[in-house]
Amino acid sequence: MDEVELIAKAINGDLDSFNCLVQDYQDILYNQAYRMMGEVDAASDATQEAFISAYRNLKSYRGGSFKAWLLRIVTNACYDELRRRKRRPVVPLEPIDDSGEEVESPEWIADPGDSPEDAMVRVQVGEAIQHCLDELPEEFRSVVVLVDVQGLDYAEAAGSTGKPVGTIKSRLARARLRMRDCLQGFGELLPSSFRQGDEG
Amino acid sequence: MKTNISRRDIELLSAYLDGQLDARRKAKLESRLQNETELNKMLEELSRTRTLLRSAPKLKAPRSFKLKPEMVAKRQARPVYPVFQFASAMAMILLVFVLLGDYLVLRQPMAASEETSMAMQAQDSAVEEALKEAPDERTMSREAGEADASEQPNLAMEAAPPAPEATMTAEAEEIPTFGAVTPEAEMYAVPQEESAGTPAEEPTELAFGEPENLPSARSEVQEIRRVSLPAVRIAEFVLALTALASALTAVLLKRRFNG
Repeated sequence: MDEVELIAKAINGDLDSFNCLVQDYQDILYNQAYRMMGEVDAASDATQEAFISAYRNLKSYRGGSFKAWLLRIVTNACYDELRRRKRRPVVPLEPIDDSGEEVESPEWIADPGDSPEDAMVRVQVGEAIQHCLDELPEEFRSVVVLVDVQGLDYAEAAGSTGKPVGTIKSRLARARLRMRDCLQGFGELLPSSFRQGDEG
Repeated sequence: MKTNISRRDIELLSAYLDGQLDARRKAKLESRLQNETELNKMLEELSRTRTLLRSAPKLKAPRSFKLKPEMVAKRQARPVYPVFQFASAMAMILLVFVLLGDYLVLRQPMAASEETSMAMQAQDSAVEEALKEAPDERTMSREAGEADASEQPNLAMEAAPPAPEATMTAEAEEIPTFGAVTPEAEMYAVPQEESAGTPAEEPTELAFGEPENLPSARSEVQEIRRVSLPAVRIAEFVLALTALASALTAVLLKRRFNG
């Protein structure tokens, strides 16, 4: 069954069809939420809330990129939580996975071609990127994650943020500049291809 | 790291990387890139940053986010009756304020204006008494004037042509006698010199005329009462009705909610 049929059935109240869509998009949404929130537990909560909200508001989906529509919901959920935390700072507890074990760090999707060393570099790069993303203002962070991490184009990113394309261009440029400044501080941790510019 | 490149150029380079520039801007930027070393360097750094971000490891969802029926079940409606209870209480409070305002603001000036009316009635009676007295004096002065006038005409009669009475009357009317005021004039005349700056608390000095400010003050108060009273009555009625209806609705809804 293709995505259009699943969406149509889900709009009519078929929860199983919607759960098929959940399975297809949960990694993408979780990635967006984690990059926005910077921690596993908060990202899980935001992702779950986003799917519940998406199911309840399926009638408001007007076609177009379903991925961009879902990403908008999870991005807004993250904005709400970040603003709420600014008003009332919280100390997060250790998250629990499906088996009941504490999740201390995010689980990266392993690349089959990676050697152990490459896998370690990948983890370090991921953590370096996340550290620099955490330094960005929320509106810059969401745009650079949507475009450069999630791979959306400018129009999709505009739809996911509710901002015009011109604003997306401007925020993306400034976010990339700040990420460049931040990532250069990690030096040796980063791939040599990234560091090549400093040596030149 | 500081850069001498403007924010506008940074945006152009970023859009250029993503293929978002139109042909004209793209050609212009590429021409600059051939000549400006610093601009070229910034383009390379932005490109490496973008590549690194795109190569960022993807995260695996820590658990399944599939929905269960109880997660999306329709939530039980929250009770509404507290809203009506609050509305009833607010309407009662506002009603009390309006009634207080009605008593303090509108009725007190009414009492003051009643006092003013009474004072004016007393003044009017004083004027009437003065009128009763004054005509005697004027009659006397008029008679005196006529008597004086009549003496001359008497003398003139001996040698004057006929119709001495008409002369007498005309002269008597023409010769102003101090204090003599015609009945019509004393009703409407306002002695300007005397009324200027004369306070209303001394109506006796203005016995022959009503003070200028008192009628306008009374009419202003009457106007306020005329305009405000119906509005206040309507407000009181509406608030009372609102309080009663809200309280009744709250009671009915609460009974229904509690089953």
